[in-house]
Amino acid sequence: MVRFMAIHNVPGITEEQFKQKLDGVSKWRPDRRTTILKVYADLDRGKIISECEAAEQQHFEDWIGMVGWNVESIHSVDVVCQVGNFWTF
Amino acid sequence: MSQQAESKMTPEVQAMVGVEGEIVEMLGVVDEEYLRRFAQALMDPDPMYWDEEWAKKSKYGQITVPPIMVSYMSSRVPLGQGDPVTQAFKENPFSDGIGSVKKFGELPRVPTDLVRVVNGGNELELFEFPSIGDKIRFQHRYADIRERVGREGNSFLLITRETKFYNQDDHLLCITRATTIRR
Amino acid sequence: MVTLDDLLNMSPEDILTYNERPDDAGIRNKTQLYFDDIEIGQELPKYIYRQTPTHLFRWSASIENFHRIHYDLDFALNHDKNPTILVHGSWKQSVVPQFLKDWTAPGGWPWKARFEHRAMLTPNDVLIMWGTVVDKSEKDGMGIIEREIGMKTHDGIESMPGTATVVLPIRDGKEIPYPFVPPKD
Repeated sequence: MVRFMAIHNVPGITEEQFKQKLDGVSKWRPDRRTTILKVYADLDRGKIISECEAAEQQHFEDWIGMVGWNVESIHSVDVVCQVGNFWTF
Repeated sequence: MSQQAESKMTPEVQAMVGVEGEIVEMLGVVDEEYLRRFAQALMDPDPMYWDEEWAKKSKYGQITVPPIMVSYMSSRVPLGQGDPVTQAFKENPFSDGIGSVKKFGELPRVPTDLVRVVNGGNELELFEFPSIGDKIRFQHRYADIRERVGREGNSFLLITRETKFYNQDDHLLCITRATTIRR
Repeated sequence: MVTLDDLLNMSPEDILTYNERPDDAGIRNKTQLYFDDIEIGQELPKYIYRQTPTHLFRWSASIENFHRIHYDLDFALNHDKNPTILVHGSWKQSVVPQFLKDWTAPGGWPWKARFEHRAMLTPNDVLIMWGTVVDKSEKDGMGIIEREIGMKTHDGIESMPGTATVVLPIRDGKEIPYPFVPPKD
């Protein structure tokens, strides 16, 4: 399993639209091996960052296609610091 | 002609079938407080667990507890044996929280070089519901070890560990079986 | 009774409204099912659950299971690479005898079950414990009912495929012995 993140440009997106894209388990867990772990949204600037755990990048891209957000870039994640704990991938 | 898979059912592995662990007497007895927490966490509102009058009129004649609750009671670590949680993190800061917890009555390892462990299934067989005040004994046994060949031609082992739970009257309460796949 | 297929065509929120887990009164008032009345293909009441992280914590505490994958989100996500904290296999395993016991009560017996743990289950999943009668026979004056059982998620994933054998009394027949003595083969 690999950790990815993506930066999206979605100008004008509202909070309601953002929630509607993620408001069911199948929306953030599109299959049993792909999980959208966290999504950050700066609604004023239309900037979204999504974080995904998946077997391969294509599965993340499939979810991005499903959600329909423009993607500026996709990155694989090497290391994370979460609440003071370091995790290497 | 495809190469035959190397057999993993060695004489040493075969010799483990039927091996038993020590008979372990569980800490304390089946008690009301354990029952209360377990039944609430299980979300089983059965009045058999708490309504003494109703339970007396049932075929069981007394308060009983959820059928396999006793199989979890072996996790209770007695006082005076150190703190397994603190010890686990002292040994490994990335401990999964259960690594150092001592398990009583464990069986010796099956001597195989197959290291990947996958859950292969569970079985339960029930004969009598435990009751408050029961003193429980249990014993593990390797009930079965079988070899199979996977789709890619590699051998793997199915190891079934059986545990029998008895009360103080030597009544067999239940049997649990857990099969692990070693590949 | 709503069928399993009906439930799987509903939204998770709607599935939750069809929970058939008996409450205290339901268990007290349960009437005996007899072997004679059971039909092959008959579905059992569906037990519906949706666990929250607090439910998972409560189960971990009740059985003193300190495995971090069930309550420590940071560890679950970043060490074990799980989608989030996970529902316990031990909890699922304990639902099975409850499910069998309730159906056979008051005079039957939840004899045995076999199952496998498959898909990881998370706090957001709506879970359906289900059973269907697949065979029935008489042995030693007892009614033996064979069932397929499982625990499906709201999106149809089977997380615990299995089978169960329970015992029901035959109408006007003998009582099922307690402690239970399995019928001779």
